[in-house]
Amino acid sequence: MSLEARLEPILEQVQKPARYIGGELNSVVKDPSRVSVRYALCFPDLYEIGMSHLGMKILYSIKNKREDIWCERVFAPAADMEAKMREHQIPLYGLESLEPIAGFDFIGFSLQYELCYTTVLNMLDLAGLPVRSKDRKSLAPIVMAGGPCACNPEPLADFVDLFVLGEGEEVNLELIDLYKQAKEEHWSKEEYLRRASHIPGVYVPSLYQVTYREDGTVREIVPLDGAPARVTKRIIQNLDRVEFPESFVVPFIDIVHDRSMLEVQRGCIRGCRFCQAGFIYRPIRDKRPETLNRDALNLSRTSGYDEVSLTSLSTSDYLGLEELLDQMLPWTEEQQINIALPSLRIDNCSEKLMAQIAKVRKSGLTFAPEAGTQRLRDAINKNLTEEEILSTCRAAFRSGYTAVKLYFMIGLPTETMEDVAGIADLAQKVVDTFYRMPEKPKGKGVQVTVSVSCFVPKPFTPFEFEPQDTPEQLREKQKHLLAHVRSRKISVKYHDSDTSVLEAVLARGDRRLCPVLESAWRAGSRLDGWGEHFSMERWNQAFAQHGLDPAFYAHRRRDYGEVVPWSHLDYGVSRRFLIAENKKAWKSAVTPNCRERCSGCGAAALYSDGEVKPPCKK
Amino acid sequence: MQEVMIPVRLFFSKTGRAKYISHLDTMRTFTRAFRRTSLPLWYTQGFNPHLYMTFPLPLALGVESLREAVDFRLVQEMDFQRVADEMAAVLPPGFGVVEVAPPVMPASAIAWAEYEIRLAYPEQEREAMLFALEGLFDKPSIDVVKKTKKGETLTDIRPHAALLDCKVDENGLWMRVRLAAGSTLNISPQLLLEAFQKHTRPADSVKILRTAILDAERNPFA
Repeated sequence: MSLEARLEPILEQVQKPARYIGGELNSVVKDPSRVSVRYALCFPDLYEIGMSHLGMKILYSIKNKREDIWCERVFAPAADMEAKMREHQIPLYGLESLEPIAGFDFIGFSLQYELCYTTVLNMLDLAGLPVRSKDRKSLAPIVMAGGPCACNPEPLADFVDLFVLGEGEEVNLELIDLYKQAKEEHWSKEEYLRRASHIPGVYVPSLYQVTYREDGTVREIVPLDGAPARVTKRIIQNLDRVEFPESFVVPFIDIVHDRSMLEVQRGCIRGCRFCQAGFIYRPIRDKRPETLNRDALNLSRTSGYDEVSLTSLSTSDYLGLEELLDQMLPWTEEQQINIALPSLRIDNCSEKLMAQIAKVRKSGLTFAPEAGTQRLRDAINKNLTEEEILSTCRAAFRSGYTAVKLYFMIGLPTETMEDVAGIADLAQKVVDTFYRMPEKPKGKGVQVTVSVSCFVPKPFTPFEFEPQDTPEQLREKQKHLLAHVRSRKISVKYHDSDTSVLEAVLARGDRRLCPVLESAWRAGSRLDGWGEHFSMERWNQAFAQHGLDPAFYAHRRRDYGEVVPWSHLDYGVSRRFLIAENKKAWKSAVTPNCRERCSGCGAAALYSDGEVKPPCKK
Repeated sequence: MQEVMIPVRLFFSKTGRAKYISHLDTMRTFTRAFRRTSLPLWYTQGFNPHLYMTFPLPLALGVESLREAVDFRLVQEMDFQRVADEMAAVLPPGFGVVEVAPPVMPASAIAWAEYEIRLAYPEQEREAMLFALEGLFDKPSIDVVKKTKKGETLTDIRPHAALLDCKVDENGLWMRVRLAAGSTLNISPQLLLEAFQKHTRPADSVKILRTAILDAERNPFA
């Protein structure tokens, strides 16, 4: 009986069955007998999350553009579906063919956040495969992974055959071409991995031996079998020339980001010291307005979406923004398509832009000051003044907004209780700003939502050396903040500190965490990012079982000279620069953005000759 | 400016994997499909104009149908065959265009819907199930608990249900039923099955296909 027929009675019993049947508009169906490589593009989270991710759409499109490759989407089943699949022995399958992915040539995971790691193991297990790389003996399927977490993939080193560092558009196809040769010439899996390790940007963890000191820190990372001593991430040199999807798979069910998405630029000029994305995606590269307008037209025509979003890490820093809007406005207005502008900075969000956003959404405005006092905003290099925050709020109120959402973090390095109280003070000033305005909207109150997350130190940032606050410290700070809120116009939301600790452990973890991860998963951990599935107790038992202390990874300060688990991985930004930035943070000294002045972070070296573009210079 | 406004009724099928798409998601699917065509569609004239579109009789999740209806409006005269062709080209797999026509009846004319239901049982149980089904319809009343917005009410569905045909087939039990449908009183096939399975064991699998939507005189909804 086909998998489709076996699925039928199950789908009637689960929530949102449309997650599990494929058949969406623009999904790509090919004749399996006419392709030579089957690729399972896996996102270790639910359909609604994975389908919202632009990187998945780009890689899906690039692979399927090739006639010899059939790339299918695979997402993690929700708990009810997982139970039914296990009960009826239905293996994890691709949404396009409804065929088991265990028989595919590649299984590739997108690692967007650390809390998805147990889901990676669970998906391999649901596919019917051994979770450990060494227990999968045959060439196929090759299990690979990429995405931001690949910058320190060590906690997954025992499970994943190879990692792609940096941007995947080119290297994915290079890996597939090498695999075709391997299949023709009957290479072993080891032989394939050994040769793959020589493709720039490919990291094969089994080809590196890691030794540890008595105190638990890394002593040495030794490449084996001719593998390169350092693996440098890949970048796309020219974004105007790289493939961008002409169409998106249009889901039936409501997903998180259900709209056309453009990528106006990669990288960020800002260098906020807490932000991993701001460092690992360097150098800044943008797309020309003409390219983006073409992409937008394509997507709108093929999807029927009534909204197109201009995404990047900081869209108001995109120099071509006004020109792009001028090109897009005539046809989007005619076709009743909204332009969404997420990720705007307060300091350069002009009133013209504000009016443009106001056309789209009148409900609320979201800003991220990140810290409550100027001193701490300088320490994290947020480069944003209180006056800029308040004047932007004033402009927003003037154009009719009455709700403002402010994002902050607690637990930032150098933070004092004064900085924590400063969050409440700043929110209060926003409230006061509203009531002091003579032209404030009549008969309406203001609502300021303060959303507070817990800071997690990440690799390849100036804060990679820093200890994370303990859950006790974080809870103390949460209490302190609440005690300082005096207005009912301010509501405070904060995140769970336990998941932040686990995130910190996995973010800077080493290979010794692999058995911990496996034990936590075997004990039932999966979809850890979803509150209802997360259990810190289960994780603590797993740590204890393997004699490891999460505090060693989360709450310990690293010396500048320590060999970190990701020392052999190179993301362009030099360690020397990160150390200098860390020292500046402790002096609350700011660093100008890349357009004001190049600070020599090192990422310009990632440009091949002839492709060096301002503001980055070699 | 005097604007022409031409009401149009599109009849479509929803079969195969498309049966897992809920009514809400079906509406979204149609909105986007319409937007992918070049049809001159009528938008509501409010502060936030949106595509005008209504479904006279929503279809439940998990039920296939041969002939569903969706109403919309055009702002200029147009050959209905072209409307059908354009829509057929942009609808996702599982949705088929059956016919495009001017609406004849108002949605409120809908009074009945006909279904084919297939229940799978092991071979040795099929005759007994057939007997039980015929027995159910021989009773003067079929009381079921109907969940409404106001809570649960005990309803006798016997006057609103007719067993048109039934037999044992190669998988189990096959039946054709006619059930009250529409916005005032709607008896879902699931409700009928609930009544049937109150005294019999649940089928191994259930397949439901809506074959027709009818008015009070049992004319096809047009």
